[in-house]
Amino acid sequence: MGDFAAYIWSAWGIAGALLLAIWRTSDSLLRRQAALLAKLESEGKL
Amino acid sequence: MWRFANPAIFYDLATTASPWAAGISLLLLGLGAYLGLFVAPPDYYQGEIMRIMYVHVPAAWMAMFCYGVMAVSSASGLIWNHPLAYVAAKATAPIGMVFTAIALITGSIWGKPTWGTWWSWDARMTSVLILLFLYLGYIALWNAIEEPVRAARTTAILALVGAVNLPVIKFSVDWWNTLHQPASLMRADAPAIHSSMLMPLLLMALGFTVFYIWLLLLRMRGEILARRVRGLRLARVQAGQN
Repeated sequence: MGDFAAYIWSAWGIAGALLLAIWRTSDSLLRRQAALLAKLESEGKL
Repeated sequence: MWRFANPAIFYDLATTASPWAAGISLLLLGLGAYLGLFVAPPDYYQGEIMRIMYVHVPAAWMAMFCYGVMAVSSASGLIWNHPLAYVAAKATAPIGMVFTAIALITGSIWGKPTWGTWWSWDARMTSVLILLFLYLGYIALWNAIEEPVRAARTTAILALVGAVNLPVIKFSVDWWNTLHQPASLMRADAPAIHSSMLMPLLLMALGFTVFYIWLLLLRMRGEILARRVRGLRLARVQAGQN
């Protein structure tokens, strides 16, 4: 990739990091709500 | 068809489809990245720097596609008051915002060695920056209004008004003199790109699309659960008052 390697890897690296970040937040949103719902439902049964 | 629009049925369907979407998107993105970075030939004019195109162009397409989905879902919500339409629009906004940010950042990195500048206030770049602000405004508005039905309707209007920006982005390179090059692929005649470069580009675009579907399913499931949590809490409060 010659002289442009730093530009190319920066672009791909930042894109990868942002995609990873949005996946992490989406996944943790789902897990948090699932845990909350399970807690509320178990409290309701008591 | 409308059967799947029931939140409970959709939730089960999305839970089944999520791992498939994850696997397919990672496979497509892995293959597209390998071909784009190591196999595709360098451009005869721009050389190796053109490899940024394989992430920049699909991200820019997705930025516009996600906004289109948001606008159509919002319109469906306003017209048919469909429960999942607003959920889909709300879930799409952060994903579209990330694709827009990727398009802007990778475009800026590509611009420095080719145009000699990180940024230029030309029509294409400015209209994509406005798209980023529209996504940010949409998300901020959702968070600013506490009452969910009012938040859904207000944000839907913003999404629909902002959709005016989509044709401006698409045709900005034709309507104005810009630093940005005109369309190479989506044009009336044949694509002005060789198949050895077209293949990784299409693989990345398809990979991003399936990646979007995967995250959309994750976020919609999260939102459906959040609504159940809100409903349960509200029921408890009302039961406590009686």
